[in-house]
Amino acid sequence: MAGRRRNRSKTGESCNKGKEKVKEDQSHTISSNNAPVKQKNKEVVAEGPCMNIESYPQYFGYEDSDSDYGFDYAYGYGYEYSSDSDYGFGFDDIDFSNPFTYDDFIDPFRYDEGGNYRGDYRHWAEIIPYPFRHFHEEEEDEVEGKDDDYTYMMAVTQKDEDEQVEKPINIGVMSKLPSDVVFDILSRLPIKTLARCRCVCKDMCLITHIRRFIKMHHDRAIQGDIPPSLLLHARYCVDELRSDIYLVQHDTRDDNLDGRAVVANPRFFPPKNEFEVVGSCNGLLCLSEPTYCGPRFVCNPVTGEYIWLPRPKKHTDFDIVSGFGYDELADEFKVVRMLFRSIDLGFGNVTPSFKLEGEVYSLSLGKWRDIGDVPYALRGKASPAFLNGALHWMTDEYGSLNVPELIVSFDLGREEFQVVPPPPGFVPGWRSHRLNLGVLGGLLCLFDYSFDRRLEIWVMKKYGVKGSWTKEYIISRKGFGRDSGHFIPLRLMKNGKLLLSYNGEYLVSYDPVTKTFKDIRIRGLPPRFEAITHAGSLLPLRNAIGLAKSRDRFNFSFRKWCSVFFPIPAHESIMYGDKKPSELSLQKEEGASNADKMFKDFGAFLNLLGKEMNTCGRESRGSSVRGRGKGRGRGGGGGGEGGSASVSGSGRGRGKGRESGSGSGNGSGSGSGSVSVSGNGNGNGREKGRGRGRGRGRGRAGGRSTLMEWRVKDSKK
Amino acid sequence: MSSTKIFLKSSDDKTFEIDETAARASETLKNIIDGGCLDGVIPLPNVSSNILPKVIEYCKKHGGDNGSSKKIANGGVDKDKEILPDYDEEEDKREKVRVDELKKWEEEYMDFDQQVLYDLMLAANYLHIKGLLDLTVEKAASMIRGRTPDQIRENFNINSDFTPEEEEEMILIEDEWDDEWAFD
Repeated sequence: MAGRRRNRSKTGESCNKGKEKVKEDQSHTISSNNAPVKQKNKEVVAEGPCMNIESYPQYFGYEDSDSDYGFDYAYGYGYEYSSDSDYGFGFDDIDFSNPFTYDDFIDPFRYDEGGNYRGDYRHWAEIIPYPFRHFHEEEEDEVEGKDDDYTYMMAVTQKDEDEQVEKPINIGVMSKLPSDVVFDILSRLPIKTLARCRCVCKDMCLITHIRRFIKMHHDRAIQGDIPPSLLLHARYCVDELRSDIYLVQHDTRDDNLDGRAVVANPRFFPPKNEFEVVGSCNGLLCLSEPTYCGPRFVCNPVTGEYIWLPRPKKHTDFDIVSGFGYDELADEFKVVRMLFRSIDLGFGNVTPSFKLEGEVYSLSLGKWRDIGDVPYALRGKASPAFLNGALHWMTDEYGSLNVPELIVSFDLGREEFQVVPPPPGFVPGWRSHRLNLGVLGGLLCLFDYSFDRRLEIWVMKKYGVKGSWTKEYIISRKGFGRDSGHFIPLRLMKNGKLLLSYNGEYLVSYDPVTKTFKDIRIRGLPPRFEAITHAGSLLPLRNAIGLAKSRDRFNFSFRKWCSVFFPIPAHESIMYGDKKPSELSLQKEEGASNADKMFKDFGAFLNLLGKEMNTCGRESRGSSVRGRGKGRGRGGGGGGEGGSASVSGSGRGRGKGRESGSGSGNGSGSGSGSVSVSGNGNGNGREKGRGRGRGRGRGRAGGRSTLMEWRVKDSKK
Repeated sequence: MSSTKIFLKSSDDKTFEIDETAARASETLKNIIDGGCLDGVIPLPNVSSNILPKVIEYCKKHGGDNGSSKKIANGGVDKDKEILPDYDEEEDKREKVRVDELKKWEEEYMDFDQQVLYDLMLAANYLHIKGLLDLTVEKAASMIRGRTPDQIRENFNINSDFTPEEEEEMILIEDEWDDEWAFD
């Protein structure tokens, strides 16, 4: 016990330091706000901030890596706290009678056990997901082996939808418009605005859940009528263990993406720590494991759903060329994977020889299928350009594979390779490694990096017509100011400007008329990133990939990143916790301001401490599982009390700061800079507190009840 | 096609004149004309006299009666552009100029207040003028795009029907997605 305690206080101190490092002026909010129970112990003061730092998202991130330190650390606390009544936080004070204060509101399981729609449409979680955290602790094979344990249903059943359409829609002056027109209006809005619309009134919210509307919106999004979002795949993060995907939401009126309104939020955190982006197509994103396996899962980053692709049987020690696209005719998403294999030409042959073996995975059929050898040596490093129902690759020189062509397309419908004529004067070979393909404004483009100080962009104005290649943009670095590094064109914005990423560090807009650059400042950009344009769609993955039409059961798991708005639906862990407590957990984070970033570093440090704690907490690990399930808790901390401050709270720190805890019943809202904690939900489920700025905290009774269980378990022990 | 005149009667019994070619921009009118039911005046009980001229103005611009070109860049008529064997740059440029002109015209045309917008939307929906409907719907969408829920409520005169508890959630969610103020 003493050992644990020592550890704890140590952590507390270091947390304090961290906090001072970040912002001193906020470090005292906690004790004032967060103590429903009297605090007799001086340690409390040290604990309070600690709990707050615990809640820092990065900290949780660690948990997701294989090591579980985060959890154990928290657990160590929890154990002590629950087993030592002096430090206890007084469960007696808490009203357990109503553990589900929020259930009605954010229950993401809108279907009862019989599969009937419960009729409540206020399930924000579904479409406006919040940072997804999936704590994937199982072996993946286990995952694959299971049938759909979490089958995700349609947003609204047909019946509900019909009923709704008959009802007059009550949305102010728009009420008198026919529903078609209203749908039309709303379907032109970007996801972010739709999310806001849900807060306007019930009927507007309902509309955004109607299947017909979702389909309309999806169609518009994939046609490019709605400016696409950007996904940023963070690279080389501080801890190098994780690579989040950030969603840059913007709904600025003229699609200029500039301005302070645009924030990059870490949106999800795929089950595998390391992954590469294969491609984004029609609202879905395909990710791969970087080594050996190639494409492994497909997700909708907006709704947070994802599926695993079965692990292919073939492996290679060499490059994998992969692609992801959509076959419009068959209404089918396909993943392409091509492996380089060496051919043994026999004794005495020194130069290695390769062949490229292709496989296609159809999402609606759920099978990998061989497509034989690929007659071209494709370059696998960059994502292929998808347009006109075909994936486009550059070729490259590999071993003995000769390269007669420069650009090769793969038609996903016919599953055939075709040669696309390059711009005049471009021959394969001498500089092809300095060329890249892309899509701008729906046209195939060739980016020519062969020149020292400029990037030339060739645009194929008419697909497949060699004569239509035009050198449309010449982007000279002269006016840019920075010398090295290169531009990657991302998309053509509505105002005619080009959106570029520079060196994977900045986003820049380029005006081709005035030939000037403008930095686009976005809050919370990861330090290094790979940017992908992505058409945000609300279409549930199940519908998007056409599973419903092909069969009822799938041979892969259909899962969802935990996606909620605020702390977690503790009931989630109750419902599913028995089955897999470890798997459901989440927390939110957002908007890393500078202070946040400092915190992040600090989080890493904390994590180490957590590791230490871990050794203490280990013995009770068996019972810890539950705690982990509801884990969100932990962050915010049961601050304050009795000196032991322990459990958790959770959540999310954010620039403007709000943090909510669940689990311990002690929510903490953090004020700006994610430092101050405010608010506790205690007893009656929730209470909101205001921190600085607009921080709000809330606790949830649901978590508490699970905690209680947990505690009971412990004491039984 | 010679320009036969067609008479439209608004809901408040005022009669307006329109060329047949212009009237064909509206699917509804086109059906009536093609159906041979052209019997003097076409009554339009859903369109009032202050909106009808606006509609007619649009039809004139897009019905093809005042321009030499039959191609409408942004209108309801589908572009039946034959597939050119080779890319024609000149054609592309001319197209661009035309689109620019049209955009400018649309900008001026769309300069009216909200009430007119809804009426126009209704009329366009009723008369099946796809181009006009597109235009008006897009304008309405732009009134929502990038606004906060409060602004949307104000714009469209919507009363929030959430209970105070829900409202609180709402504010939370709203805040998540609406970050402007946080950076002051």
